Amino acid sequence: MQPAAVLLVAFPLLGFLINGLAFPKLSKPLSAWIGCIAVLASFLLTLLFFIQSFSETAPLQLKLFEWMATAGVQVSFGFWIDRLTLVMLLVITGVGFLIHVYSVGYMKEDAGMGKFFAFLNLFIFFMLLLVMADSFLVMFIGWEGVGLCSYLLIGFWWKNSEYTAAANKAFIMNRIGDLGFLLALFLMFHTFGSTDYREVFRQALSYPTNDATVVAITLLLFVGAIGKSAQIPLYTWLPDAMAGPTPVSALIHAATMVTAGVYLVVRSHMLYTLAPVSLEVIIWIGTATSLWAALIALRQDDIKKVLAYSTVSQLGFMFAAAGAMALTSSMLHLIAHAFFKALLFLGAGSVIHALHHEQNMRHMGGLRRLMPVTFVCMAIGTLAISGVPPLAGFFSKDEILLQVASRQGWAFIVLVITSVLTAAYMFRLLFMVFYGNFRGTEHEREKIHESPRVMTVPLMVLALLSGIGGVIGLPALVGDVHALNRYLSPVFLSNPRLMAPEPSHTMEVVVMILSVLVAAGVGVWAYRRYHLQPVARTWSLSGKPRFYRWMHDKFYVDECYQFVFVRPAEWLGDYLRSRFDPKLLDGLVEGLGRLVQRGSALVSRVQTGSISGYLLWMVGGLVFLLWYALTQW
Amino acid sequence: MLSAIVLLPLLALIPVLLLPERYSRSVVWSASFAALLLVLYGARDVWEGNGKAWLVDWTWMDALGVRLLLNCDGLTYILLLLTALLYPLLLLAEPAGRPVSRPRSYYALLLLMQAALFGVFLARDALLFYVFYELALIPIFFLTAFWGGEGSRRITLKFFVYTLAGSLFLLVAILYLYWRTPEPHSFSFEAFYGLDLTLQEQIWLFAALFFAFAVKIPVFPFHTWQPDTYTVAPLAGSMLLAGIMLKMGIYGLMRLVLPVVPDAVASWGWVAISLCVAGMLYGSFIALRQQDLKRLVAYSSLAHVGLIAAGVLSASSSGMQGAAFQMFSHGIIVYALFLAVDILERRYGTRRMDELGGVAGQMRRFGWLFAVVLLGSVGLPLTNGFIGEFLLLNGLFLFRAGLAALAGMTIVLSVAYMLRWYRLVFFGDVRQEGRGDLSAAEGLALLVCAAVIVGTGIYPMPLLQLTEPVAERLLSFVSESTAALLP
Repeated sequence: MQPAAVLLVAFPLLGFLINGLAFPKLSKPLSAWIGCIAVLASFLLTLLFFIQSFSETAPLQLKLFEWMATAGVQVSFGFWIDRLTLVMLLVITGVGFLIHVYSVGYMKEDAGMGKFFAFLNLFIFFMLLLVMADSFLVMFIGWEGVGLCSYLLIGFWWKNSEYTAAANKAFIMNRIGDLGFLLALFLMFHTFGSTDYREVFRQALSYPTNDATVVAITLLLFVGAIGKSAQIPLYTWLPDAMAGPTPVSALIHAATMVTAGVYLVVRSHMLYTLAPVSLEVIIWIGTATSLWAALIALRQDDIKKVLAYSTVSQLGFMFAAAGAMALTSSMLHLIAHAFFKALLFLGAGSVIHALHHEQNMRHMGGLRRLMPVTFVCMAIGTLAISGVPPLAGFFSKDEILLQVASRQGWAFIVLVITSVLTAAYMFRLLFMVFYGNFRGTEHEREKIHESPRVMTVPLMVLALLSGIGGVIGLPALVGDVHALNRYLSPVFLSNPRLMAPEPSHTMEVVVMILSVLVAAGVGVWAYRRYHLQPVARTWSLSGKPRFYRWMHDKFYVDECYQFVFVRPAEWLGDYLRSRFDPKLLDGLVEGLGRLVQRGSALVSRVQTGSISGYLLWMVGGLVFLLWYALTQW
Repeated sequence: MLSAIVLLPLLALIPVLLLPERYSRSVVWSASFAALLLVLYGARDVWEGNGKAWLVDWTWMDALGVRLLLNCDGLTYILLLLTALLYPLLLLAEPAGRPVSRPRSYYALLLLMQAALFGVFLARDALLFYVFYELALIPIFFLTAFWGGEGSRRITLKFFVYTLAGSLFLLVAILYLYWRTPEPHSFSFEAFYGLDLTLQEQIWLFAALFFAFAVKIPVFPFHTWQPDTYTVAPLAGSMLLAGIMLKMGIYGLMRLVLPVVPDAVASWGWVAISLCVAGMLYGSFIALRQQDLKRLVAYSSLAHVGLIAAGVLSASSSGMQGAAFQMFSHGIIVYALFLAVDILERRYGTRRMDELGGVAGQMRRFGWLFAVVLLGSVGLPLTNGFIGEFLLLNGLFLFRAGLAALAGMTIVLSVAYMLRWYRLVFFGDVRQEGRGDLSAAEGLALLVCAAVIVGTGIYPMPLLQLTEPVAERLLSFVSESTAALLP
């Protein structure tokens, strides 16, 4: 199986190299084929591993080569494939492949198609590296690598300076998180002498609870997760990242990369169970982020921005679950979210594609008859994310709520409110886009068409997955333990501190009924507000509470960051560049130089050239020496 | 005898001076290529720790105990390799169809410079080291002063005087150490390593040596000669200064400071490290607001070498190994950055960001190759910049976690200023009409850099193994002394 593991990673890399080196010469369909097949090959290999994992529970590990070795830092480049990795691999290659196929249609008219597939393949490569790594340092390679691909793809349409600014912002904010990760790595080397998972976890077992070092490591790792997974306070890059082509938003900024932070926490459960303090922090940041982003999402008019804030919010859910150490629930939501959020983004892409890059929902409306396939798929996605049974989102969200409730009552309440908001902004989106009357011109309306097969088929597959994907998480009410729980249990078995979750069955029923009622109520509200009443083409504040404006303006967080961090940094740079460095510091040096010059000029005056003057000095010197010698006697 | 590599550029001086001027370039080409081959040929000896093949030990001034003592170990080798590798690249990078004025003197100076650089890194006798150290200053002075840009005379003079002042401290320290060696006095490094100096003596020596090397590296706040000099110097000058010459200072810290005054480093090293870290942030913030690309490279270089110096002074094996590795990486990367600036200037006649734009569309290959260099510069994993930065920051972390966190902020800032460069110059609106993609020579030079950046980033082990024994040996003096200090 070992060569297969290498191949699994090698295929996308190969796809990247072929497309990357030869893309101006390759024909567009050929580039697309290469890109898709590379990922499909990885997906098939993943399936192979997956099937085998049922008979063989022991993780596959494999050392490739020594990467870095000095005294104190020993890192080998190796893979570690256990069931947790496999779940991630399935999501990455499976959803990844669907999105690749979709891109064939979406990017058809773009001249840079080869480049696009090269970047997508490169992204898959780094993402695979991230989840297959056998140590935190190797994970960090993938971690920064996916950040790079995210940068490249956000700024894919590089002629637009707003887009490239968004790309820079994403990279920089990710790097802030990466610094936390990096410091965690140093601390690990310092403490455990290694960053290898097994070594670190083995040693961690002997540490007491809430040991300061472990708390520091877990918090620093979480800083990394905050950056990558766009949590408060480092979330503002994700909405801007929507500048990238929509398949990128679906793949990187919804389904896979942004969930890397969740994976990191789940992967390091052995450390986190030792640090309840950090867990508390995670629960609160996750909960706060989910509410905050949901509030903003409710008042956005750009279809992709709504979905972006929704992603931030859903990631908050995952972190809340991870913080409650409900690891399977977190993973379940990660999987379900990958399905329905990819679906929603691709659906949105389909709409944007049909409307020739129109993203403002106020200019849409009534599209359900014009794009029936997209509409049905989007509706399924909306129901799924709103937690309507028996769709995928229901089981996972349900479970998260129950798990958090048993651990942190307040967080539970906030998450329940967020669930209501989630249904609200999603139904708002659905009704604004697909119901009511079309708000564009007649000319625009005539050009609207359903997307081609190559785009709708991936949509339908994802809709199917969002529909039935929940079965892996059928709640305890039906069976004893759900399938995902059973599948992942060997991964968590080694951790004695991890409690088996035991939510009550009555609560389950209550939450289930609540979810349906909320979805129905919100649905009716959105129907009345956005279908029966007309939607204005432009947004106005008149007669609305001030809070609406704040939500619409994203609570001015970007402006605050600009004011608190960016401006002072620029000011400092300017001051140092134009004043301190050349005037003060260099002035000091030059001053010293001038001082020496003055001094020498003074002394050189002595050198008059007249012999009598020199003789006088000589005699004077002799007299002084004599006098000195005599007094010393 | 391979140390005779010092002689190779000197021998090549003869045909340069004798043959007609039009052959100068070809002679230097052949000589630098021969030097590269010779260094590569010697690789096995060094890997196998077979120092004999390299040892040169001739008496020079017997009465003073000065010997022509040259030797090569892993640390020396990595710097020889850098020098030997950068020379052909340097010639490759020269703009085609625009020959330098007064080629004979120009190429003669380049050869003299190479001999001096080889000498500095090979010398094992402090006086010899000092002679080469100063000798290197002369060709670079003339290169910068006479082939440099506007105002180069004045700026170069400042650079010259400043570094010379630094060197005086080095000379004084070396002489003091010489007199402290037992009879018969010796200048050999080994003799210095064996000295038993009091803490007081060490602190004074440390101050003098650190100042001497800090000016050369340069470390904040002794860097004010650097941005101007890098900016006015001709392409070869900037590359030599930033790529190789500043490594003389770091090399000095490794060879002459750590093992000679270990107690002073243990007690006062934090001051020096703090300066380095302050300089890292200082350089980064300035780079953030630079319009002139050459200045941007100069200030970013200040940030990068500050980390290398801090890593050395942290006196940890991670820091030492990282420093050795990063000296090589930084040499390649900064070479490529200066080349990139020059390529832009050749075509568009400006180095200012606000006068450039949309280059990615006009120079596709350049855009890609430069992106790889940029990633190396910001230390993305799988580039050589990451390996060096990681080991250095790790070393610094072992010393003081807080300082590492501060220094780590530069990985955020470096992304900010480098991506700003890429965004404003390569992306965005086209400001000037296109003037063609890379020439074959330019492309080859950048391609070699990109290959080294990625190649040694994926598989750094050969280089790390090369420097490990030396790093451990030099550090052994520090650990012995701190062990002695402990009750």
